[in-house]
Amino acid sequence: MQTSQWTDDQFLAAINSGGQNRQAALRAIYNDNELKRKVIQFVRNRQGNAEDGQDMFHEGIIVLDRNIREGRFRGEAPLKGYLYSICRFLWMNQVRKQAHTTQGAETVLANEPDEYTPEITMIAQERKDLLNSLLGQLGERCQRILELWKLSYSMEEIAASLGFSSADMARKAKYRCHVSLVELVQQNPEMQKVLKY
Amino acid sequence: MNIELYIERIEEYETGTMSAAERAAFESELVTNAELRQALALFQQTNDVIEQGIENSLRSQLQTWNEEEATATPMTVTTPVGGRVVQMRSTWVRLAVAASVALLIGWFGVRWAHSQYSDEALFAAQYEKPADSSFRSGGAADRPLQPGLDAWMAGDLNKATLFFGDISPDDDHYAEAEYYLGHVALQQQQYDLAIAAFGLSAQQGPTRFKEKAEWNRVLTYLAAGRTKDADFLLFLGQLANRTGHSYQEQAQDLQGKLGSVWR
Repeated sequence: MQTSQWTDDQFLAAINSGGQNRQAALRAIYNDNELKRKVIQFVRNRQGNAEDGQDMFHEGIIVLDRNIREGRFRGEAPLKGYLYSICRFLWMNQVRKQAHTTQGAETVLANEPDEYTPEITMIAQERKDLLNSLLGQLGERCQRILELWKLSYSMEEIAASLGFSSADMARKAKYRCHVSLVELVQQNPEMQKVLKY
Repeated sequence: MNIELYIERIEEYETGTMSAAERAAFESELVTNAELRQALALFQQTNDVIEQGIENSLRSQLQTWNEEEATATPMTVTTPVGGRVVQMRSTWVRLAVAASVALLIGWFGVRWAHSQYSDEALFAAQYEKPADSSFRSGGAADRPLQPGLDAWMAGDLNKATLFFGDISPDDDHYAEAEYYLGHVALQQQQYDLAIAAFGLSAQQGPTRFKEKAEWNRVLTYLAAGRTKDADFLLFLGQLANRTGHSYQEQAQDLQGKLGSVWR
């Protein structure tokens, strides 16, 4: 299904329901070439190139996905406009960070007509590194189990996806992985400080 | 603190699967149980770790879609001002195009090579029609076959065939007549007649037409596409192995080309 065939409510419902529905919705958003071109054009006009624009489109989808799942976006504004605003915000934030003086970028950002104000969780690089470090200690299989669980995949789907003999075995594995992750966080007081933010 | 004591209840609380009564009881316990509060805080912190994993996976997925898209349909982005065009083609697309061109070149190359080694091509490269001027040396008395040659040069092949065919084996010009008959028949694509005529010419002893007739007999098999015939292989082999024969080199060359992988 093309983006034009989805309503915003369908996108929200699909992403919130998780599993394959979320996957299909994200693919449809990704396939919106008109929006993608618009984002690339914006970035190209502001010190970036097409590759930067493509990256911003990807990062925007990542933020959109999380904002929908965590209830920060409930369809108050048109979804495409909201995503475009996220991409613009992300790029200008990057330009601001890269600039020696923030004056230029802030002026550009201030002059941009901002129809929607996206709530964006800006994760500092240090914090990101710590999170990835914890993920590394947790192990790839546990990561995947917990991701799928968080994305509302059923235990049957997790079992099929990761090769468990039954949903019950997948459930037990998920339990062990979650306990391991809590213990990892507990054993790292520094990480607890960072995670509290 | 032993997280296992609390984790299942915390998960139910966080995912909203508790009943209203259970939820109220849980929240009451939070007020009085410091360990439960700590466990809940730790559980909530793991959420960020899992979300980071989801973000990593989605980023990887988007990159995969991007690569798939670049391979399937190159996207062109244009700017209204300045007219810059950005080709978002991947290296794979370029490689695929290069490979396709190479395959096409290869395909045409093989086709070309095959065409160069076909029976028709080999015949055309080897065959020489006797020149008109070679018929006209000497006086009329020395040229008894001239009417047949004139008919042949005028394109009246039937008349030429009848003329040369009427020359008696006892005639001094019999070997020559059969030789020309062979050429006329070859031009008429009467290959059996041509083979027989060149053969009769060659059998007449050591004349100036013998070696030519032997070679043209071989070429007639080639023109007829009968290169698998035992007689053809025999005659070609004889020429290739006969030291001093005027056409030995051509025969050896033809043998080589007939055995080429390009055929």
